[in-house]
Amino acid sequence: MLSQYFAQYLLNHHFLTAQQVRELLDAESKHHVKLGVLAMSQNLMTAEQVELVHHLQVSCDRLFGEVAIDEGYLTESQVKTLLHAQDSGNLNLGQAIIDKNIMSLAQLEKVIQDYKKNSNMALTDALSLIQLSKIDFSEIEEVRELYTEYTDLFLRSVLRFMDTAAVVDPHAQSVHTDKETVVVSQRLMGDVILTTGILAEEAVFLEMARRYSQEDITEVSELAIDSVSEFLNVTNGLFVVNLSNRHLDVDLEPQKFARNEVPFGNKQAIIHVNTRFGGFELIIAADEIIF
Amino acid sequence: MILTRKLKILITDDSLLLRRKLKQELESLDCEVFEAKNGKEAVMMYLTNQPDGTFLDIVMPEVGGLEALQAIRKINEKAQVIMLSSTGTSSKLVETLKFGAIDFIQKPYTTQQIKKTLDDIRKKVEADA
Repeated sequence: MLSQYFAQYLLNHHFLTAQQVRELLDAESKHHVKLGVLAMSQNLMTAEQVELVHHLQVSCDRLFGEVAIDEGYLTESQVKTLLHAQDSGNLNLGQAIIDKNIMSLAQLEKVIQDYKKNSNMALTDALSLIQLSKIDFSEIEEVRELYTEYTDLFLRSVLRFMDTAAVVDPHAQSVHTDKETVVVSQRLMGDVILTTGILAEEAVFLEMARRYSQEDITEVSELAIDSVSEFLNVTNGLFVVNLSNRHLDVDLEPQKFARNEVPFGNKQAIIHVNTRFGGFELIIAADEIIF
Repeated sequence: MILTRKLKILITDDSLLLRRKLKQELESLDCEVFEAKNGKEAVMMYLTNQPDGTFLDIVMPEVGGLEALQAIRKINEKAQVIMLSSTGTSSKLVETLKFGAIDFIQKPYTTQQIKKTLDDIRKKVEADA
């Protein structure tokens, strides 16, 4: 999904704050991407040309595509392709940025171009920036690739099972300790030894449980803990399958949970993840997480 | 012979959520469902209820799914056991089939997978009747 990686890129480079990302992810589904933004993102038109078509549309009751064809910016075939892509919902984040006046069309055009050159690096860049927080990623160089691969899968899993894009916030400074929290973790044992966990404030934890289970869960009950644990288990299972494709044999251990504990693990990375329903910590350690 | 009674199915998983969802699914497919939350309970439930089919998770506290599979197959060498696990690697598949499981489903399962498994169990029960 373009939005997730694009949002990651914008956050990494301080084009947006974590709060803005959360609001935009929330608003994203409500924004219908317009043909002009789509044409710009596919390098078919410049921001200046899109502005001009918008200006011309003001004086005549005609569609963007019709005016763009008349002006020679787009062919009929290109408009058809864009209309088809419009239905897919891609780039809604870009549209939301414009609608909320966070950037001008010209600024967005430049950012999209820069992002396209580096899109595959957005997550790696974010994890590199985590050394700015209290966990120094540079000290765990040998597991960086594994952690990055896991985090990428985890974020896609959040999108798949919790119906929300999720991005790493590389600028978050610390784990929440002043509110009631819940942590679940699971160890992967075998050719690779790794423990992964989720630490969240109760409200966010409950929302994760509700989204994964699709049950009406209102308190941190056995079902709530079980739902988030099962989400972690399924995600780790997918990771184990990926590892096995590289001939690495790994088994999963039963999940553990605790309340109001800050976990501690060897070569532990605490990665702040932002979603439309709030932020939580993804924890990865090279051995067991103790709490 | 066509089976006229409900299929008896045992679900074994330490996840309350999984048991709840799978039970709903199986009951909607006209099955009688029993639940166990670890391998030890599964063996006890198997002895008591003699189910037509058993869904077994692999990773569970106390007694895991592979040990339970072996124990159930000792009780009934024709037991129809389906492993239902998040770790669907080829080595795990080979290992469970070696121990006598008839199928392996990776979580999250789909309704089609469950329906197909029930059809297979039903055919076997009818053939043995």
